[in-house]
Amino acid sequence: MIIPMKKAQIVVLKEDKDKLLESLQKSEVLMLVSSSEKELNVDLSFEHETLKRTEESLQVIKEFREKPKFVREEFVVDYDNFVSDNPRRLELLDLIEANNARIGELNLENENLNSEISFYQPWETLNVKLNELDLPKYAVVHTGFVLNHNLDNLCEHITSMGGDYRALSTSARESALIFACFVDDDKELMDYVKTVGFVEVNFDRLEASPAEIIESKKAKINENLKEIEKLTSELKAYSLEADELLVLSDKLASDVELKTAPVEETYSAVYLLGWVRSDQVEKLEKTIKKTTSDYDLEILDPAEDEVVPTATKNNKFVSAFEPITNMFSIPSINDVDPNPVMGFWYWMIFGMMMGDAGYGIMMVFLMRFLIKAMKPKGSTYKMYKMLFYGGFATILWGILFNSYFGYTLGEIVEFVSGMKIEVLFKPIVLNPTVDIVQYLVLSMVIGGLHLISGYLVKAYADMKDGRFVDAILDNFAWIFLLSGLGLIFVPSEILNKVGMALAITAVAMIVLTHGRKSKNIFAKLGGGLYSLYNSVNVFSDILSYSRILALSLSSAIIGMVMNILAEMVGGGKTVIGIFFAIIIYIIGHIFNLVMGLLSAYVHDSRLQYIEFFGKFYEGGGVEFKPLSMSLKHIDKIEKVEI
Amino acid sequence: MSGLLIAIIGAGAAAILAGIGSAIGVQMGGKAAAGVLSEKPELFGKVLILQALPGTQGIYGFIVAVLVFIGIGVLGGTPENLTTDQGWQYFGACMPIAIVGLISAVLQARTAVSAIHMTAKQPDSSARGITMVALVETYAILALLVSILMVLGLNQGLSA
Repeated sequence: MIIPMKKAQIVVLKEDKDKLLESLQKSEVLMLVSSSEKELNVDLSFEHETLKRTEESLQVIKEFREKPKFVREEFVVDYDNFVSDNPRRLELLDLIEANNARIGELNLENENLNSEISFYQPWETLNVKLNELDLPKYAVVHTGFVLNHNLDNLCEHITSMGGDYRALSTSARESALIFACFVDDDKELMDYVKTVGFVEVNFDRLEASPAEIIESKKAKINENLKEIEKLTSELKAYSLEADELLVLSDKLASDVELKTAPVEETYSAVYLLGWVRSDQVEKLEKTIKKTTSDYDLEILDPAEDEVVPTATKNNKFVSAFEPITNMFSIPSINDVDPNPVMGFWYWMIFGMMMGDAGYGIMMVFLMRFLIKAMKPKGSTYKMYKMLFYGGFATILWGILFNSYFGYTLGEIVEFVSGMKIEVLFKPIVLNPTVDIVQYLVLSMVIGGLHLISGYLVKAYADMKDGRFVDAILDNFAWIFLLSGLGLIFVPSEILNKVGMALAITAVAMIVLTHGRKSKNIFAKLGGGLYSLYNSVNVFSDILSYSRILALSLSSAIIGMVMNILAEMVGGGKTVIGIFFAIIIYIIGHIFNLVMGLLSAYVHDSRLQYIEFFGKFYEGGGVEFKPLSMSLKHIDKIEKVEI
Repeated sequence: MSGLLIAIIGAGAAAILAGIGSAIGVQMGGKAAAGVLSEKPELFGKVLILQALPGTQGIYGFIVAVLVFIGIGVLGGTPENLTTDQGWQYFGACMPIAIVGLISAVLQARTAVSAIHMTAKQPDSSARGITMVALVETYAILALLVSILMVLGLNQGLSA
């Protein structure tokens, strides 16, 4: 049911503005709209910046937090705690950020130290302080790398020129070499060593030997590692307070909602304009009264051409199917709420398409478990709930088709107890894999009834708007035609005659009246004939319901094939055979269930969108979204006093 | 050629062609979906459905093949002795889902790719995308029905 909307104009003193908005956010009754074109100019940089920081900090401490349990616990926060602006939250942010930054610095430093160590590593055996390399007055000392295959050549040359050398370490490719020669020979020797590919390495002339340098750098690395460990254990401690950050994140997002609420301000007063559900007007007034006694509230009816948001109120069952309609288009305020009728048919057809009691039981348990474990919110919750209800329809049709995981009840009873009860082998309505023609007829009858209910909703909508002539002539003509043609195929002579009469009346109604909106007599007749031609569309709509048969059949046959495969494997009654048979049963039926759910969801939706909604539904509405707290992490806020 | 062989070729064609169509289709959808997910990983559920839609034709072909196998006794290990005519009858019955399955899967995939791109820009309109993609599948379903009705008719003729 679509709830009528009222427009609320509120004027309060400026000093009450924040308090009022807060209580409106708590009570979730008013959807504020902008009353002027003027763009809101609020500074949200703190909120956005802090939100980003919170998410980043949460990411940092994520690895230290407890792994979420399979069945998630509900995250409940008291309202007072939620709005308390606990300074510890921002403090936590600073602490986590500081620690994380310091850890990053230390890691970077260690990386640099490590690369420096690997620079000195080849020279580790050089037992000389580096600044001592410059000491000799008449000799020059060179350090560097030379390729292994040139090493002998080079050494020979150095010796021949009266110099001395030592190879310090050797890798697979090159050797670290230190050599000395007389000052006078230096230029000549250096010219030569370049030709054999000697690469000189220049050290900072430190007052320490390479081994000492390496030692000191290693010590520094260890020191850093210890600090990292300490910082990490601190982070671990902070991660115990992660809930505070989650609250902060949701609080900030809710603050953004508050700050961006469109409010007109004058020097001393503020003006709020918004939509309120007509059954919540009193609640709105109560909310305002509680915040301030100086207020002016005016409740208006929406004007003719205004865009009014839509709120629907349905029982638990129907509201589970609302997301299906909303995904197509949100009902507009002028529509009749399609959900009650649509929900029933969606449920019914979903069950037919799945059509197996075993799968239905799995759906019911699986969805019940998922809702418990994941605690979804909003439309995800409704989707799960819809599949949960769909499970019962699936069980219902599964019983009617006598299909339990692809077996008949008789087969299962025979397997378990050895008794052969003839009755249990037969389906109650029909067997989808055998009585295909009957099933095709059943699908189309369901389709016909579905379409007729669509025309009835349209007729109801027309009558509600006072267009009685349109309601009868346009919609009942099609209802008569569909039911008349249906009756012709019933094996009963009287009903055949009734059907024939209905169909002829319908055709006459269509040809004679459907062109009534044209002025010219020929156009009137032409319009009628054209409308009759449209019956082709109606029949193709009905044929479209044959997909119920196709999907039901494909699900049934795949289930059957899995059973045949499992029986073939497990038929020998060996342990391995039975083991693989069980695996085939489990995987095969889960695969079939998932594919069946996908197809049923898609094609059931399609039947609603194209065939059913095409008859009456316009949609194009805007969802009623009252000012509320924006909760991403918190499941529930408790002790909210309104 | 023996009738049995012709019937098996027909059943094989149903599974092969429709399967190829679906494989191509799901692959096309998968490529588009992966591109979208690289930017918006939160849309996984929505684009996965769109990607999976062209996958059903392969299942339809598989179903018809299995129905043929059941009819001609290949599955039970005691093949029927079909005449050449009967073999061609089965072959013909397999053709609708084989051909329509192949082509409709690829065409459906093109719609699915567009719908995936649309979902990337407007996540709320994914249901509309699903509907548009499902419209293409109608013809695969009709072909499946035609094939099934023919195969079942032939199976009944055989067992009678």
